[in-house]
Amino acid sequence: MANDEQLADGTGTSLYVHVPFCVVKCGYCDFNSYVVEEGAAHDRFLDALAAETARRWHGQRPVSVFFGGGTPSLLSPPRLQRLFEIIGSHVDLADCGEVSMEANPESFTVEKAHIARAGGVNRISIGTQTFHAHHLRFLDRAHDAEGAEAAFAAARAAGFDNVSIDLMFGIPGETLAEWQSDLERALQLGTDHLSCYNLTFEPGTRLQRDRMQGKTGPNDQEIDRAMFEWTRQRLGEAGFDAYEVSNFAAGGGPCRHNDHYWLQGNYVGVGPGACSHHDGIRVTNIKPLDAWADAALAGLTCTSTAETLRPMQRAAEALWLGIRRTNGVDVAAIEKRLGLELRAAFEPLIVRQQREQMVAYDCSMLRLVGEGLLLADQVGGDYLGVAVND
Amino acid sequence: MTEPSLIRNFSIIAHVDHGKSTLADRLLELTGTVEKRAMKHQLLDNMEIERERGITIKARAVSMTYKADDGQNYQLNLIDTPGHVDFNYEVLKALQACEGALLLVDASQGVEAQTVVNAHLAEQAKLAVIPVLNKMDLPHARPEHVAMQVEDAICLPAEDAIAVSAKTGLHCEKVLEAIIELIPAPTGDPKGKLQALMFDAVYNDYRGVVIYLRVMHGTIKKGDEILMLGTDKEHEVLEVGQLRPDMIATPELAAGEVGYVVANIKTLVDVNVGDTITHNDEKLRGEMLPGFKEPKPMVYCGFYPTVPSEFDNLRKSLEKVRINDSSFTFEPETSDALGFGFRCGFLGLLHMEVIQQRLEREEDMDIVQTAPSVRYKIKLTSGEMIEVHSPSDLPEGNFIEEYLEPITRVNIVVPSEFIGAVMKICTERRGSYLSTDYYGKERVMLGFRIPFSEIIFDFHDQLKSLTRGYGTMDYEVEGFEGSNLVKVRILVSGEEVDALSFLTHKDNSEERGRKILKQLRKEIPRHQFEVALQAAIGGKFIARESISAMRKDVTAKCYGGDISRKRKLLEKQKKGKKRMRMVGSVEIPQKAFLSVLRSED
Ligand SMILES: Nc1nc2c(ncn2[C@@H]2O[C@H](COP(=O)(O)OP(=O)(O)OP(=O)(O)O)[C@@H](O)[C@H]2O)c(=O)[nH]1
Ligand SMILES: C[S@@+](CC[C@H](N)C(=O)[O-])C[C@H]1O[C@@H](n2cnc3c(N)ncnc32)[C@H](O)[C@@H]1O
Ligand code: SF4
Ligand SMILES: [Mg+2]
Repeated sequence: MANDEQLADGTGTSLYVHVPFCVVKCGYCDFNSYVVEEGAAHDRFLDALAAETARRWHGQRPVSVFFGGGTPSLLSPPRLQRLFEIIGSHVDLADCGEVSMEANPESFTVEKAHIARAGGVNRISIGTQTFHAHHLRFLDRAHDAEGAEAAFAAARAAGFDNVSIDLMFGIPGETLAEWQSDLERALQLGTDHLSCYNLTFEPGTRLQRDRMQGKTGPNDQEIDRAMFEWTRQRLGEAGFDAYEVSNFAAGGGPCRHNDHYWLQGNYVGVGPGACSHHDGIRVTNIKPLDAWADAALAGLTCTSTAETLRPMQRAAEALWLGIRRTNGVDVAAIEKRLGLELRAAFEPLIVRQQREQMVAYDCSMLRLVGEGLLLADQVGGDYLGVAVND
Repeated sequence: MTEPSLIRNFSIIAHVDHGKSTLADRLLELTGTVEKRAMKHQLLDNMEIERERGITIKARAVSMTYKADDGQNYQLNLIDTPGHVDFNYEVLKALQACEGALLLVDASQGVEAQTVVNAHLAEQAKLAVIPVLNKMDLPHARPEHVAMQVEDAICLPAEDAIAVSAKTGLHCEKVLEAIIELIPAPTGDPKGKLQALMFDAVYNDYRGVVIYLRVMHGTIKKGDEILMLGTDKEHEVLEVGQLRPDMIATPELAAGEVGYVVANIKTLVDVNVGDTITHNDEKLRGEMLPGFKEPKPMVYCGFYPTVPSEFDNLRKSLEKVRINDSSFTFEPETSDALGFGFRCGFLGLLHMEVIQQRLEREEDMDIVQTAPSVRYKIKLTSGEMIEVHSPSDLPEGNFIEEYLEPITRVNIVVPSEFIGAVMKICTERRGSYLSTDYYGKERVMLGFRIPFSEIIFDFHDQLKSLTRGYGTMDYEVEGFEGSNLVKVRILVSGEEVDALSFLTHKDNSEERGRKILKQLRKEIPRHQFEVALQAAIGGKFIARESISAMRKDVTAKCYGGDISRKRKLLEKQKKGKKRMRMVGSVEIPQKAFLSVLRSED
């Protein structure tokens, strides 16, 4: 299939659609989402989304489409249907290799699953985080473990054969045994893909504020390490391919959309605060919902900030992103794609990292090994450092 | 020329934030010196750093014309002064140029430490002091109460106090009438020999040095050949005038008047504030006035350029900042950890902060600052006495006969319920109790002798927090006393970091060593290996901490493709790294060099 070939080298363009509503704001989450009353705000969002998509998507065939949030599944059935009509009027969703949608347990029903499927979605990602009631409470999640399982079943009932689960580890106070049981429960459900994210304290979140006041804090790094390592070992045994730092694929294969990000591919993001990338230009949409909608409905650009990467910076970014993929990053391919000579600038650093046994390098493919995997930000950060003052 | 009998010269003095500059605003407005629409808050605070911090740092003179109730036009020369203890010298200078002072007291706060100190300075200068109670618009203003405190503390009759609101303007016109009535007109003979006191000097990009002076006797005008009696330098007067508040040229300045002189002087190094200006012509030459001596820096710290190659630029910047502030000093020094930099001396910690900020704002310099230290004296076995401004200047131990440290007299004003708390922190800091004075029934001033090194760190913060914000303090260095001091060395991964070592009293050494290591532990990032932190006196270790190796550093995800944000974060970290100082293979962030200052555990 043409799309699969596109995937291999990050060419082509993906589409991200941001639905900025949530039932509650989770304590750890700094994503652009709003708790608003259902009704007019949702309709206005959809109107604005229609306007922005018409402006920004020009009928090409996307590599992948991702309905993310916020919480797309929170839209009422008729509005959800309208969402797919809006995007479907510019993109032939049925013809697209991967169309993902994020679904939250508290709002995802069999009815909505059917609407999604009919609308062209072929992959569902269920935000589960943990199956432990006290941790769900700590994270301010609006559902329980059974709700997550019901959501998974709903996806299956509507015929989805590619269902992913998002889990989080490193919740303050969480034990290795608890994390191990979370993994088992996800495996028992027969998930086709797992994202296992190490909880991060993001600026501006309730969790970060509590941390500042000494009410909570990250677990010891040794516990996080043990969880990280256990995850790779256990999921490996279960036949999952650890294709990226936090992502594991079984039957459904890798999430192409996310893979496209790590490959420095081009994408268009629509919705408030959504990000886009085009050949080294990265732009971010206006973040506040109302301001974004005002701009979109007035037929104006919805972009609020843009940066153009310098050539070396773009190369460094490609290394930093690409190295997260288990296959590694192809330095020769980046040189060719960007028309740059990279060896002189990066090889002394790569040689040092090789000596420290953080990476493996065969003069073309560069990948993380051993401790490097757990220190990926240092390895990748060093590449960015090379280009900081060029 | 204005008849001396129609001139009044006065300063506004008070504790920090009691409203001096705001009252000056109202007086400028009432006299029409500044038009209402050109008015802004604390107009005389015109340095960027003053506006930003909302405090006065330099005294400012301004001349106004006031038509009094008696129908006469008076020339009023006002000098607004700073309230912070570090800038006491500014008050001292201002008072020498005046016959009177408005002593402002916040009617909701009452008499504070600097109220008392400044009132005494005015008394010593033999000025007429008019008590003014400010902030009457506040609901919790207690004017009768506060007037009683003023009577007890400063012996000014309570019924003389004028109650005003500098904010709303309430009764501010009464202040103007009181100035005419109660402050004596300057004496002095406009036809006498010239004697003018240079009470300040500033540098102006276009005119060079501008001298602020108060003419005591005689007259000075454009074209005069003048002589500075202290420095014995001659100059030709290019312009004289008044500050209204902009420089407005006048034909002359005569006895009793306050104004400025421009005399083609290129740098402030060529003038001495406090000097006497007179005519070069011997027939008109006056005597030297008492003047004042430059204050000596009491607090020292190192300033190093973030990027070593910026050393020369840092020197130029320091020279430039010094043009407007001769009370700070600098001399080159070197450090193993930080390279080439400067040892700088300041009047106090706020002064240090102000200079550091000015270097950053006005000169765009990036600097690393080391922890401040007081000035010590050391008696050598040879009998010689030396001064050290930095622990690294210490001579070998066996040449030292005795350490001497500066001792301050500290006055603390608090509501009487806090006496116990104040006693406690002062004795904890090696203080000895001296005196108690009651102002009214529930306000008290406690006097202590405390080593200066004990109050330059977090003493003020601790005082504030233990007295729920009510405690205020003032200090004055009284002399040097022998003390059992030791040098504490700090080692990172076994290597001594000279810029972190410090001198302290032996009894405090372990605790301070431990605190600093704890702080360093927070500020030095994890490395790929374990980092050992140690504090030692001579060869003996007194504290130890370690920073365990970084074992995990990996982003979980970049939400919705927001790559830029995460990348910028990592790039910023990288840039920060370039600014870290290497000690062996350990990267130390620049702000860690200030660890000694932070005390929380
Ligand atoms: N409510 C009220 N606030 C006042 C009054 N006078 C001054 N303030 C406020 O008190 C604060 C300090 O005023 P300043 O005039 O800067 O005080 P200052 O005495 O010049 O301060 P320093 O020069 O730093 O010693 C400011 O926030 C003023 O707005 C007043 O009469 N009433
Ligand atoms: C931004 S959320 C949106 C999806 C959906 N609304 C939900 O709650 O599952 C996508 C995923 O990012 C992960 N995530 C969000 N904030 C995180 C954080 N602070 N640290 C680690 N993972 C986080 C969660 O696993 C979440 O499922
Ligand atoms: S984690 Fe998901 S549900 Fe929770 S606030 Fe973020 S986007 Fe909304
Ligand atoms: Mg002021």
